[in-house]
Amino acid sequence: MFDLDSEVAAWSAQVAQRCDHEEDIAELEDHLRSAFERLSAEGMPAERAFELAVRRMGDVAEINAEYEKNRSLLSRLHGSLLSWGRQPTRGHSGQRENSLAIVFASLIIAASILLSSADISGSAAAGYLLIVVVPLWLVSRRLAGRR
Amino acid sequence: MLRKSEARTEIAPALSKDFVAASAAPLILSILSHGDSYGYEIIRRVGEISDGEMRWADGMLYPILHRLEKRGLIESYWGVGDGGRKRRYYRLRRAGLDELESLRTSWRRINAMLERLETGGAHVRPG
Repeated sequence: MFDLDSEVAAWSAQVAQRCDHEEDIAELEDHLRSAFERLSAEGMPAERAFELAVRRMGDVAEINAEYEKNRSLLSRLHGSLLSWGRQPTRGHSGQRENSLAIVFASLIIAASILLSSADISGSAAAGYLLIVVVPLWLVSRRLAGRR
Repeated sequence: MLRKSEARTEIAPALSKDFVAASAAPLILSILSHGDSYGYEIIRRVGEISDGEMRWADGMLYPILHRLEKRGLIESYWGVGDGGRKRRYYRLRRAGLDELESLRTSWRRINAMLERLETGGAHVRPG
């Protein structure tokens, strides 16, 4: 039996990997439902209408890539780290860990420059804390998720 | 035989991808200059005015709308759609109207240039 709500939810879950704002997801879901309703009103059977509405939405990877362009550097980094944490570690794990090592090294260098170029003011110290603590927190989440 | 609605989904772009991408902003801004609208309706309107030749992957419209909003050309607000569903609407801002005018001028210039070349008004001698 075709269940529109669960089909829509399954589709949005794929988009939610890069488009993490609830409002953006709600907007896409409204579009999908509108397309489905129109096709159904034209007499198309529910499953076929949904399949066509999904096809018209376009490739999920491409939609995700477009949303990705709109995100700030920090949220992209956050998203990459989270998705890295979600992925199974087989296959390209070596390459992934190398990339992550580069990201961490860059962050630490950036923090060092920040601290050496000026007196350690309150804001610089807070910046350093963010740069070091946030990635560490993300890694700890990933390690916790692995168990 | 394909039904009319199925035939629309066949990928046979009459306009190239680059052309479609470049024309997205002026088309969206122009549609919104006639009144507030939402994604699904914008897509339908573009389909209508292009006689189905301009096919966007529906999902790709939204990141474009969000970029236009980020640039301050349009603004969004939430309302309620026909079925009582939450719906995000878009409205043209003053800066968007100015941008639309500027884009229209650019497209007209290009069009005029092509027409001059077409009618032989701009020959360039080799050598």
